[in-house]
Amino acid sequence: MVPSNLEVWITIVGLAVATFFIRFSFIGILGGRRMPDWLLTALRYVPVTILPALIAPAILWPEVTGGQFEPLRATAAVLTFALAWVLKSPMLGFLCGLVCLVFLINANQIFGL
Amino acid sequence: MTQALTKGGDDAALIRWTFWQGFRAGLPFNAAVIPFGLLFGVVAADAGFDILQTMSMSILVLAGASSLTAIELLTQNAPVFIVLLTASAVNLRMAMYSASLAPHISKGPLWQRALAAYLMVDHAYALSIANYESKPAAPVRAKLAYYLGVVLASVPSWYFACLIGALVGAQMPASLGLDFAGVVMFVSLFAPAVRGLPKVIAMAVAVCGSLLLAWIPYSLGVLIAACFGMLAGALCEAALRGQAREVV
Repeated sequence: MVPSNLEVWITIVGLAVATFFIRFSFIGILGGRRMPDWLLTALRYVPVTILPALIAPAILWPEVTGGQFEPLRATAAVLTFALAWVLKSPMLGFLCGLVCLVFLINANQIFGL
Repeated sequence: MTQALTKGGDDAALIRWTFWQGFRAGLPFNAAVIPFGLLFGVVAADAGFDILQTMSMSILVLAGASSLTAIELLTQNAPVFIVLLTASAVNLRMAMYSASLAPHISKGPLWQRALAAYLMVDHAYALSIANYESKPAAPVRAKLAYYLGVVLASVPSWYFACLIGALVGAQMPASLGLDFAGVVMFVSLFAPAVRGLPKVIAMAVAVCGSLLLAWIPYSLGVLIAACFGMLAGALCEAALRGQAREVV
C-alpha cells in the first residue's frame, strides 16, 4: 500500500526533528549529567528488540503474497541472520543475504525450470 | 616563552592534523555506508517515495535503520503517530551515544555541537569515543575536529548512494524479489549484535511477542513486544550477575 504524500512528509519532518533532539540531548542540553543505570541497561537492548519485532511478521507473513507464508523469502531471512552472525558484520551479512534472496527467488528462472 | 608565542599556530596545526586523522579513520566505513545507502534508496522507491522524498529523508534524518523502520510501517498503513514513535525509538540508542560523548565535547561552541548532533551516526560515535578515551586531555576543539573528520569522510557518500539507489530503484523489475531486500537489511543490521544469553532472550521475547500481538491495530504490538524484550534481557542480565556474585 503506497502511503499518501502528506503522511510521508509529516513522517520525514517529524522523524528529522525527533532524531535531532535525541542526538542533541546530552551534548547540547543536559551536558555531562549521568543517565540512570536502568535506562542505560534498557537502551543497550533497543537494537536487538525493536528491529526483530518489526520484521518478524514481515518474514512469516510477507506482503507480496498477501500474508501467505512463503518458504523462499523465509529461508533467505534465516540464511541472512546466520551469515551476518557468523561473519560478525552487518555489511557482509547484508551482501550475502541479498545474493541468497535474489538467487532463491529467481532459482526457477536461473535453472530454466 | 617561545611556546606561548607559537601556541596559536600549534593549536591550528594540531586541529588540522586531528581532523585528517579522523578523516582517514572514517574512510573505510564507506564500504558499509555505500551499499546500505543504495539499498535504502531502492527500498524507498519501492515503497512509492519520489526522489525528493527519499533525499529529504536521507539528508534530514540521516539514520538508516529508523528511516527503514518508518518506510516499513508506512507501507503497513500504520498511523503517522505510531510510525514516528517506533522509528524514533530505534534511534534511542543515540541518546546513549550523546551521554557518552558529552563529557568530551559539551564545552564546545553551540553550532559545532548542533552539527555533531545532526551527524551522530554509529561509527562516528564508535571511532570518536575510542579516540577521546585514548587522548582524554586533548582540547575540545581537537576532539570536535576528529569527529568532523570521521563524518566528512563517510556521510556525503551516504547522500550520493541514496540518490543513486532511488534513481535505480524506480527502474528495478518487481520479479527480482527486492520487495524483501528491506527485511534482509534489517536482519543483517541486528544479527551480529545478538551475542550472549541476555541478548538472545531479549530477541526471542521481542519476536514471539510481536507475532502474538500482531492483531493489535496500528502496528502497536511492535513497540509493546520490544519493551517486553528489553525487560526480559535486563532481568536475565541481572540474574546472571547475581549468580556470578554468589559464585564469587
